[in-house]
Amino acid sequence: MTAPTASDLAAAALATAAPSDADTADAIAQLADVAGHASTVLFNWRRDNPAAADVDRALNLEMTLDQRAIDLRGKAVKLLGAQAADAIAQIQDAAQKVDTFLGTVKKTGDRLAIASAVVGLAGAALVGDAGGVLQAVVSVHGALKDARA
Amino acid sequence: MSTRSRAARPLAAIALALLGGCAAQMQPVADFGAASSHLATVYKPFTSGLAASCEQRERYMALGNPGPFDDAATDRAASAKCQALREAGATAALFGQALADYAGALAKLSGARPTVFDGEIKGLSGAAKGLATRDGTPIFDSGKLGAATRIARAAAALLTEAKIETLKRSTLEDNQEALRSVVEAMKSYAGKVYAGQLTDTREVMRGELGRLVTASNAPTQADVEARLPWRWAQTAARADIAANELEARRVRAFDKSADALLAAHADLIANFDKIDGARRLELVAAFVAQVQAINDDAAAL
Repeated sequence: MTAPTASDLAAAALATAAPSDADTADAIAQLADVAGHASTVLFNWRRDNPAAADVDRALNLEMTLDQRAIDLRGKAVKLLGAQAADAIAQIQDAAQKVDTFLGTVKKTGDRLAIASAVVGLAGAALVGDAGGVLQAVVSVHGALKDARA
Repeated sequence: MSTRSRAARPLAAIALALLGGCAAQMQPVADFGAASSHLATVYKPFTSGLAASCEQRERYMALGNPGPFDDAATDRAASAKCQALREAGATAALFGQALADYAGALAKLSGARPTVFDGEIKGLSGAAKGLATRDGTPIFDSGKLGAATRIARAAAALLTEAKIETLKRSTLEDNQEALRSVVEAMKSYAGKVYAGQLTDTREVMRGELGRLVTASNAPTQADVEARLPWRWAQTAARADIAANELEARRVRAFDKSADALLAAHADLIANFDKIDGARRLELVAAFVAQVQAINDDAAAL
């Protein structure tokens, strides 16, 4: 058996890095659901707390999250870059954590910070840059950590 | 009666017997085609439902926003915001049409009369032409679009050549992978994209219903009159939520039905030479029962 060449190794690495269309579609659908869920949480909070100080900010975030959910459900997304598979896994992990945790957050500021981080993550996913997604995921985890503290 | 016609009679009888036997042998193909066509019919409302559910959510949210409120303007804004989903739904619809075209062609080519859903067999929809103009979406990527185009074209070819070619095992084999791809895409659309949108909309409506109930509380008789609009509005909100939940149930049932259909198609190929129908009809009957149960629920609403 001949030793693999550098180009063989590079091709193998790329094949490993490239997520399947089904994996990408699953992750994007999950992220769309989280964007929609976050928007609903803010909407219900705003409706139940009309006199709260941050209702305008919540309204803006809701509108943006709504639009992101629509875009994620309606547009083709293909994550590019060597870290694409990792980005898909990170989107799914972050989406799961936000979905589980968001409804239990008590402080308005924390809730808005998480929602804002989700906006950033959804935007990065729509651009299709795996590196940008991984950066945005760090923000999501940071917002979740702050909310838990 | 002439000698010639007497001689022709046994030949005609043999030919008829052969044709009859052939039709009986093809019965499962006819039933499969009809069941597939029915699945496509069940799926069709999902495709327009995506944007409709998005618009419903937007309208509910607009009710809770500060500032002036104009119902017609709200409708227009909701329609504009959900436009991307209307286009995605149109692509999704072409997949259902491609499936229906393929199913219809098989049913017609089998030469047998379907025993189920025969009223739903339709002519070619021209899905292949429509598919050629679509851009991919997260669910319906270029590979899936190619698969749908393949079965839609196969349907057209089958019907065009129906007079000179009978159904062969290879016809089914050639389209098995494309059919699987199409049905999986339809399942993903229904179970992930559409179901997610239905959930988003339902959550907003449930929140609004809770607030309507709270606002309907009249501490004294004197308060009742002023609370009547909120009390009346509960009925419409509950009906919207019930319709949403029913649609979500249809989506879940579709997933199982689609799996049964793929299994039935694979079974047709595996047993093409010794088709007796019973096994495949079991699979098809399972989803018929599911869909009928859901339709009964819908009728009872």
